[in-house]
Parts: sequence; C-alpha cells; structure tokens
Amino acid sequence: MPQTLLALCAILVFAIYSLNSTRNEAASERRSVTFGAEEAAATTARARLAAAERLAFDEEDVGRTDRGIRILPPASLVGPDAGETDATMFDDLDDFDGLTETRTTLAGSDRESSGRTLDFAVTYRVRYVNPATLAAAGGPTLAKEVSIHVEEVTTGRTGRPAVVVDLRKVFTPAAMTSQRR
Amino acid sequence: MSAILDHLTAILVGAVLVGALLVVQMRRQESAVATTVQNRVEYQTGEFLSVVQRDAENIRTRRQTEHAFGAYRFTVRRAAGTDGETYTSQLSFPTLANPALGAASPVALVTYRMTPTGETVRVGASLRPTYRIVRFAYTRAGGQVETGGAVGVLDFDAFLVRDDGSEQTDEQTVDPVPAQVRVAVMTAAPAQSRRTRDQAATRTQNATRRSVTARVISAAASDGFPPVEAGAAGIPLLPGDTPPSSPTPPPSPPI
Repeated sequence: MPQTLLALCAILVFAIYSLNSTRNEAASERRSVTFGAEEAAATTARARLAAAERLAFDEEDVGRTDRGIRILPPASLVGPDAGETDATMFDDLDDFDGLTETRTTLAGSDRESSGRTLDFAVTYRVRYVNPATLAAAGGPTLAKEVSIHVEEVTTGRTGRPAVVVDLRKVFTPAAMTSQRR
Repeated sequence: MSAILDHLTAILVGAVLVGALLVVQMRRQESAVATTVQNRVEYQTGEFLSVVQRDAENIRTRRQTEHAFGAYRFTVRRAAGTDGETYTSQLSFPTLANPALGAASPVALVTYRMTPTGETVRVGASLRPTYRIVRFAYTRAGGQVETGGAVGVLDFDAFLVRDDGSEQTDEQTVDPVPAQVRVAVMTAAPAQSRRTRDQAATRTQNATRRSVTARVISAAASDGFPPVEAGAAGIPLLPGDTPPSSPTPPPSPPI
C-alpha cells in the first residue's frame, strides 16, 4: 500500500511539472504571436504617418511650387475640407483630424496568398503646436502634430489583450515630402 | 531477487517517470534554444532593414547619377518563387557610398538581389523555400563589391511610392526617383526538429515580418553634383542580369 501511494505521488508530481512545462511553452508562443501583432500595428502606424507626410502642410500649399518664405496658415481650423470624405481624397495634413478607419495588414508568418490578416482601427488627431516648445497652440502655427492611435480589432477569444500603438510626429512645412520635390 | 520482486511496481513506475522527465527536460532545452535563435533572427532582420532604410533615404537623382557614372540605373524587379508567391527579386538604385560624408560622398549603385537557396524551412504546418538577399555596392573606384545581406528570408517586397501615393513594384527604369521607399522582409529561424508526432503542434511562430518606410530626403534636398571618382564610366551588370532597355528619347523640339 505505501508503495502504491508513493507511485501515485510521483505520478502527480510529474504531471504538475509536465503541465508547467507546457504552460511555459504556450506562454512563449503567445509572446511571439503578440510580438508579431505589435510589429504589424507599428508598421501600420508608420505607413499611415508616411501617407500623411506625402500631402501638403496646409490647404494653402496644395499646388504651390514656389519656395519663398512661408506664412502662417490663414485659419486655425483642422479637419477635412468640404467634399473630402475619405483618406484618398485628402490633400493636406490636417484633413486627417478626427478620421477613424480600419486598416488590414499581414502579420507574422502569413503571406499574401494565405488570406489571414490582422485588422487595426486607426484614429487620427491633428493639432497646431508651438514649434519651439511643442506645446499645444491656440491658433495656427508652422507646426502640426499628428497623433495616430492604432488598436487591434480582435474577433473571438485570442488569449491576449488587443495590441495598441500610439505614434506622434510634428510636421513643419519644410519637412513635408511634397514641399521638397 | 525477492527484494526486486517486492518493489517491482515502484521500480517500473520510477523508471517510466524518470524517462518521461528526461524527455520533458530535453523539450524545454530545445524550446529555449529555438527562442534564442528566433531572437537573433529578429535582431538581424532589424539590422538589415536599417541598412536598406539608410540607403533609400540617400537615393540620388538621375542627374546626379549620370554625373557620377555617366549612366543611370534604378530598377525594381519581381519574380515568382517555387511556391508560387511573388517577391522582389532585385532592387537597384543609386545612393551615397558613405552617408556620413553627406553631399561630399561619392555615389554608389546598390543592388539587393534575392536568390533561392534551394533549402526549405518549416513554418507552422508547411515547408517554405528560403532565400538569401545579397547587397552589392558598385563605385567607380572600388568596383562591384558584395557587402552583406540577409539569410533565412521567406519574402522580400519593395514598394516605390510616388508623390501621388501610387506604388511601383516592377519597373525596368524608375525615373523620377520615388517619394518614399517601403520595404518588407519576412525571415524565419530554423524550426525545431520534429522527432515525434506530438512535436508537430509545438512552436509554430518562427517567422517574423518587419517593414520600414524610408523618405527619400537627400535626392530632393541636394541639387548639387557629387564628386566623380577615378575609374571607367558606366555601370556594369551583375552576373546573370540582362541589360535594361534604354528609355525612349524625348521628341525633338519643332524647328
């Protein structure tokens, strides 16, 4: 009888050890999956920032070809202009203000043909900032701060929290791609 | 003998448990090694993308390249792999040979060429062909030199983004230079060997996809001409390359 009890105890101890081992491996794999999702979210944020960078600094700069001394934008209003209903119609930086859109990207080991993608909700905020202090400015200045908030859209149970990435960048007229070409 | 028979159950149970313990321990060690290898691959992928980004940010214009080489080449080519997926097989563009020197740096023609290795790596449940990306740099003074690259590559995509946001992925001659260059690379660490059936379900995340978007700054910011090095004019082809077709000359002005 003591022999059987000892054998049962040994099996129990081994089972606990084995389960812990499996749990550690699963945690490692989950970290790896999370890293892939974080990388995809950061890629999405950077790509959207790059897309904003290609536009003009202000509505007034659209189609402007001279490189003279830049004056302040005439109005402190930010946001899309009349008729600009989605990101493909935007022509200047602050048109993104208030926009929320869903972007899809590949992640981890998936390839184009796999059809498996990650969805991210992307929210934009644009405001004028003081070029010297980068503090929020009450009126128009020659610096606009673009904040991009990217949050993973999860469906069903993933076993991990949704990935969130925040990216901010301050643009000046001289830093815009469109002004330098 | 009687002592062995008396404790036969304990001996059998003990032997089985010790064996199983050794197997579990071995799996843990393999998993730890795989994690370390994966981290190294991710680090190397990041380093490789940093080099691509630095090169792309310093892309030179056609005028500057023709001044330096007497010729111009900016090419992005796509090809299909053995698994049917398409990838960027070659990306060539003029850039600064030494970005630290700024505008005083000579121009180098950098080529990233992706070639199949003939090997495969297990990613999840499937075997995928692996590729090697080699970076060549050509300067008039130094000639064509192989300067590193990346191994264990599963996918490589280069997108040249124009001012209007449209993308070029397969062009014999890219002119004018793009506003931005977006590059994505997927690499994989060698997966754990699968000795038993139950291991097929373990550790599927051995691939990493990373990307960068580089803004082509210097080409537009600097209108000056780079220094011209000693050496023959022209840009030699890499082994196996076909010469790019000459661009159509602009129509003559009316007399």
